[in-house]
Amino acid sequence: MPARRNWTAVAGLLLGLAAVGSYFTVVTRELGPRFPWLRDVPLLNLVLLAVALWLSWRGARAGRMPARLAALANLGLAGLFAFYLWGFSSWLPPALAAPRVGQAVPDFTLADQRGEPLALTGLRGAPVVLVFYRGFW
Amino acid sequence: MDDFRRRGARVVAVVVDPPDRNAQVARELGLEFPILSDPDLAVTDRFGLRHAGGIPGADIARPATFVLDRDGVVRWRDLTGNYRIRPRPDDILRAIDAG
Repeated sequence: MPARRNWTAVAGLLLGLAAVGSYFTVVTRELGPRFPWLRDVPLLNLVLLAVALWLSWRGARAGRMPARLAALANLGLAGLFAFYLWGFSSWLPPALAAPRVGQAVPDFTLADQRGEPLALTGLRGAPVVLVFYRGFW
Repeated sequence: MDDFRRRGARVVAVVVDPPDRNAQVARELGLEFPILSDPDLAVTDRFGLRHAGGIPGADIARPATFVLDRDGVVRWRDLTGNYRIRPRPDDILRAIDAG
């Protein structure tokens, strides 16, 4: 009898990949600006991942070695995602020398996106929101 | 951005990326505020925000947000402990109003 494809195991793995991939491609890039809480606590992705793991578990119980390997891969993926969310992205150096509340910030002049110099002192007289970010490299 | 404009506040971003990359980002995301290029991280260092090896093979800035008053004094700051998690616009607006 030919081997039947274990669709539950396949669906579990595909859903796991979609759950993790969509955090970076959809939640962070597209939804993040409007729904930052979804980026901070990725409930949507975690629920999808939970469903994916459940499918994997069911597929592995009913299936043979490939389905068990797929479930193992899905579990590894979930572990890596959790590590990224709460481990890796928290590995930031302490900012002990950053200006504190009540301190004046150092002045500087840098080129804007048109290549024109902009001096921080030129903005005096108005409140300024100064944002340092990691970049798009 | 209207909420910031109404308060007369200016938003300025600083990043290691070059101006042409920042121009591309501003175009793609429709950003109207200045994005300043700090390619050698000299300004980032003066703010104590260098993240050595933040990406493979290169240094970048750790995320940080400051609200400065009209005299350039820090009235509020956020040094996030997780780079995925940034301050919400409402928190920043409240800090501007309080300053």
